[in-house]
Amino acid sequence: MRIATICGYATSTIKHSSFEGWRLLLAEPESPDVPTQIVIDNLGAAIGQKVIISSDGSEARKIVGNELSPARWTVMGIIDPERSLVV
Amino acid sequence: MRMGTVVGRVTLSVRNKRFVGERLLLTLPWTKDTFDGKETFAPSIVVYDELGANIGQHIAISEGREAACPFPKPTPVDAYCAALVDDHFYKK
Repeated sequence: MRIATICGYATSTIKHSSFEGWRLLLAEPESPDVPTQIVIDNLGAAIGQKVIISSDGSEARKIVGNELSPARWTVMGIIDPERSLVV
Repeated sequence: MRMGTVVGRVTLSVRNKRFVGERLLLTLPWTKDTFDGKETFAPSIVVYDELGANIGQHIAISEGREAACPFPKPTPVDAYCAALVDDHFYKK
């Protein structure tokens, strides 16, 4: 799991059927070793917010409800900046 | 998933027996600088495509173990074109 900042979104018409109806956000991880990722969000993260993203594909498949989904990165939580020491 | 730009196609003459009717794209994955508007990319990768991406198009590349998930039978794929990105918004 990594801390990342939501820096945008992507829109797509032709996509894998498991992504139908999901928000695709651009998340920029704090650590430079992971490039900016397109993540699936079911928590309603906004642009500029800091979040935790996870690369757990099995959880991503549960979130989208499709065992054949290529989803990997998902938003696991939105960081509360007032109560976190890391931000 | 990383964002990528399709720059070419790869056609095989001899293939792994698990590949059936594959479409392989040569793709340049985006880096942070690419989002900032520069023409710098990560090293190119070959991406398995089922959606029909064209040259010059932006795609979302699923990598790692999840790239093989869409296949009902085990298939040796580690980069999969998961979406054709029509448009994106990026704010630094």
